[in-house]
Amino acid sequence: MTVRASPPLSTPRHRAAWRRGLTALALVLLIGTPALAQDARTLGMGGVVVAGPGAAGVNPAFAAVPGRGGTSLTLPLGALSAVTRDYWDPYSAGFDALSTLDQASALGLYLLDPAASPDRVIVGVDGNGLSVTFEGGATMRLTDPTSFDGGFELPVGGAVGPVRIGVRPFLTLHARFTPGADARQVFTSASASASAKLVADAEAGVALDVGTALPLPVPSAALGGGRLFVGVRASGVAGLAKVAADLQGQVTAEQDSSGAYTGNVLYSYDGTLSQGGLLTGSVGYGGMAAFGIAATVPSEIGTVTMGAGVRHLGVMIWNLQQTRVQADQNSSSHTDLGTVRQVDWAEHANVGVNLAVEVPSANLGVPGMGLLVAADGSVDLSGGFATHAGTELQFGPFAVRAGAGYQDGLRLGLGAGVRTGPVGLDVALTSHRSPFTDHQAFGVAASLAFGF
Amino acid sequence: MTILPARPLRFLALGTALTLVLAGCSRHTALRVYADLVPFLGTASTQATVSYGAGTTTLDLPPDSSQPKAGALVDLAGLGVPPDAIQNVDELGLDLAVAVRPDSAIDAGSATLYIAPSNETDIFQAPYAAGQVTVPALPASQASTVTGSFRLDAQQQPAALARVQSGSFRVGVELQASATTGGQAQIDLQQLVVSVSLPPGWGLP
Repeated sequence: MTVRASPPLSTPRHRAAWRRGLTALALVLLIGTPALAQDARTLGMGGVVVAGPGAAGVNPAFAAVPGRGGTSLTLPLGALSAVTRDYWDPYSAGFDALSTLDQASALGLYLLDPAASPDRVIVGVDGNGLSVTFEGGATMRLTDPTSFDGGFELPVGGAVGPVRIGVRPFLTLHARFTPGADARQVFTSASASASAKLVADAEAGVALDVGTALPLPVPSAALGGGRLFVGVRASGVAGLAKVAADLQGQVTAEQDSSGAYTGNVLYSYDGTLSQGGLLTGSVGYGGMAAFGIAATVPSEIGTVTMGAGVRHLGVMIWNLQQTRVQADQNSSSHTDLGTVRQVDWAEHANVGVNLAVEVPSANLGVPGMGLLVAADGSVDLSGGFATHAGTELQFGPFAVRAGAGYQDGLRLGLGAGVRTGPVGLDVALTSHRSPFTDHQAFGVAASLAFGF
Repeated sequence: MTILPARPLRFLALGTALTLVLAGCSRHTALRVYADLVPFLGTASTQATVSYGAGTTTLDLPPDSSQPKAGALVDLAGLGVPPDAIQNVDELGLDLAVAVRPDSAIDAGSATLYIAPSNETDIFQAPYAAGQVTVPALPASQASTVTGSFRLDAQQQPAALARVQSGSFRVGVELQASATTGGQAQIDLQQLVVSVSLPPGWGLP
């Protein structure tokens, strides 16, 4: 066997540059993870949103609901992996792209068993179609629609009377790859073509958030002694950068009049590539709004808190430079479409409901013990769906938690916490489905809680 | 006969390659790509009736009346194998299955694999021989399936492997046997699988 000498990319200079990049990444993660990640209390309950002031980002009305508030700071355990694990480093023997993606998508977790690339990939083309087989490692999901949603935001703000004001730099990433139903049948008698669609966008900007929540003057008797709250939050958004792609492609095995394959494969793709914001000397702008309603109702077993809210409702306007890209097996073209004014209406609008029941120690019959049971569900315009349920058992300053949910796959959580004075520590063991695979990864998270 | 032109299957491979970006870009991931070329050939290139004489006779595969000695042109780039990765080919395999129905009985013989440069018009020459397997006797007037598996070894066939590493090469198999009387044989190529195995880290510098 002939083995070629290492190409120039693996020079010490490039390795050093890569490691400097890793260090920078670790710093970014250290700064950004606390703002991005779900806290360990939530993860320990399977990802459930607990109705209360701590969930005002989900439902603005929760800001006025009596209950646990304060600030939670998730420790950036995921960033540690950039130092302790070598799957991040493409020049190390342990480099693993799937593990890197898995860990990068769960920055607040230190993944114990991130998805691993397969030991062997077998790609075959024959009369029965195209087959891809994986041996070892995680099983890739090839023919299911696959989406990736990520984000990064760093909210800074405070309350001025009943009004909360904040500034929130953000970066969002959304991508969805949708293979056609014919994708797995290519080259068989069932189908001679395979199609797929890719839609992806990334946006960066700064939002100015102003919100308030207050109790409504509803007669207490009307709610069985309970209270009703409403909340609203408005955001002015300056869009600093946006890049987007919307592509549709198809591959077809050419057949002659008798149905026999000629050996030629025809392909085509068509779509647009867009960029805007400071990339093209402009700024996007828009506004977002969130509305919510919540109620607390006493019952025989405890206090029931319910809420419903809608968020990410609004519009962003961009002046985008667009290019239409088209190609087939005979030709390709890039056509400058000029600057196009694009209005994105409520692209990622989300509706959610929450329910929580807090059972006091008196009802449990055990002094110092409390029980919280919570559930939530949400849908968004892009078709995403999530639901979670979890419970927390408190005894004195300690708490243990468990929960499960569905959010891009099964989620499981176990957790514990301790509170002392104004400071608390929460830890969680959680499980999620790794991106693009069927792998169920486990990770640990830790959060510090202040002022609850 | 060109059965894997560079442009066509390259885009079949594109989707696969994109999928493999995540799966394959790891130091421990090995890759095996195989393609059965028969579905991509017309029946004119997979089925033929050839004459053979008494004594030692040869049948060249794949059968192609327009270029009977040229074999099949294989373009690895068209199969989605990265050019750099070809230099690290771990193993090249060829598995074939062909149904042969001779008029008269043919004694046991051999099948020889030939790998030649892409510009060669007669690949069935001794310098291009890259492996040999035995072929059982073929009864008269009855279709028998002849199978053969060839594996290129860097130690035993360095020249053949170098031609593979060029990325484009011609491949063919010659059946050789003896018959008491001559006649015609119907040949139906049922499987012609070319496989390339790449070692772990194939996609990375």
